[in-house]
Amino acid sequence: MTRAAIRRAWDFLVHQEGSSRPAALIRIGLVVLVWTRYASDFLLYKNLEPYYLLHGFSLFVASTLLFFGAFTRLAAIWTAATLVSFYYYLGYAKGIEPYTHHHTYVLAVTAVLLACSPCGKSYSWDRWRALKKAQRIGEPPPAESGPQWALRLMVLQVSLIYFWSGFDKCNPAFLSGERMEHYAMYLYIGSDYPKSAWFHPAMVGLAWSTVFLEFALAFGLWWKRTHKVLIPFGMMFHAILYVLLPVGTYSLNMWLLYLAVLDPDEVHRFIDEISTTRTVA
Amino acid sequence: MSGPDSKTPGRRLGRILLFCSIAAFMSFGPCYRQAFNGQGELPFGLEVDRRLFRQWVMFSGYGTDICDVRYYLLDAEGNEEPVDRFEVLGHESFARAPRSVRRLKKPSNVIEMGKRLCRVIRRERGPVDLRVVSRCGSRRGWIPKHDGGENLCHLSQIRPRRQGEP
Repeated sequence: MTRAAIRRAWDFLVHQEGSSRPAALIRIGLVVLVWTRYASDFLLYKNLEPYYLLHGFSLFVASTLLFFGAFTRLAAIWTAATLVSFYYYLGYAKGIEPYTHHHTYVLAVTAVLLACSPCGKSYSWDRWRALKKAQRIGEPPPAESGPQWALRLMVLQVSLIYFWSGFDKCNPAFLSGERMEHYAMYLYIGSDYPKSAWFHPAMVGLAWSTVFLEFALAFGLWWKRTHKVLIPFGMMFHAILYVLLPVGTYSLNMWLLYLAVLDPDEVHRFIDEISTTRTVA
Repeated sequence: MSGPDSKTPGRRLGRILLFCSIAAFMSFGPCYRQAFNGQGELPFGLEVDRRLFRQWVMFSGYGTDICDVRYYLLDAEGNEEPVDRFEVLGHESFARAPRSVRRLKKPSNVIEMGKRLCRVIRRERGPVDLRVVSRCGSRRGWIPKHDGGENLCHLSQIRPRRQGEP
């Protein structure tokens, strides 16, 4: 019985196939986030050094191809290589410190995993070409499906982020609410400790609930039964983080990665349900 | 649509290897750096730049540049009178005060602000005894910095030169 359960889990993680629509949505969303984060840094006039130009060229060409889903596999690998280079080469080797932040790493790792997913099989120019080819030779349209293991790795990455982030917060300074007080005073209140008797208990409560939620998300996202509760809480958590702290593209990136948490076929059916067929004259 | 795939054994093996390698890399990084405080020395004498592995310690040092301060005047009988630095410095409200007044980042900022307050209060009220109790942020929580044991008006009122100032 245990063996059968392990086998099922292994198949679910590595061998399962499913709809390619979630991966395609992540693909389109990722390009938007990548442009939001990097595009303005690579405008032509900003830096004319060859390594910089090369990175800029790579960024714009690869991500544009990826956005439209043209030669998607190649575009995804190219985009992933570019983002990894932003993080390790420009960030660490060239010393552009903001490129070493957590949100740039999450962008890079999402791109790497996307390159291993069937993200070009839906909502893409590649898909359109495949449909045309099938029509031409009289075959049924190719299925919008593919292996899901890269999306499982996205879920693993999300879990790891929550788990280790929660782990990092398990220290007296954070759990006593003092680190929360620092954030609140540094960003909003200034150097005068609030007079309200509720301030300290509120900060302690916020600290504990953050840690609790992070651990709950780290493990709970793997169980379908807990999705209905945890996903809205997780999304709300990231929305609040976005508004309160300078997290950059991190919040929306995590929202995107939540698509990998959902059953791909349910996402597919949902999109079918909310889409209507309209005939245009 | 869901179900096991039907790829050739070679492709299945390639996928398994890739899956395990990526999963191992992603999982190893934070564990190595956060749980074992890895500095880059791996088994078998291997040395790597530890930054290769990502740790998830977001905002762990962020926001520590803040001091919690309480300025007050002390009279001869030992009575305390709170000092509102915004009012003393003529700022209409907290929101309109410059950030450098609202947010004192370091113990040296706390003392500088105290001296500034002292200069202004002395002009209006003559010699006064201005004190401060403060604590400043750190990764370990609040660290007490000033306990109110010193009259800030007795400190040298010469403003330290900033870099580049003649």
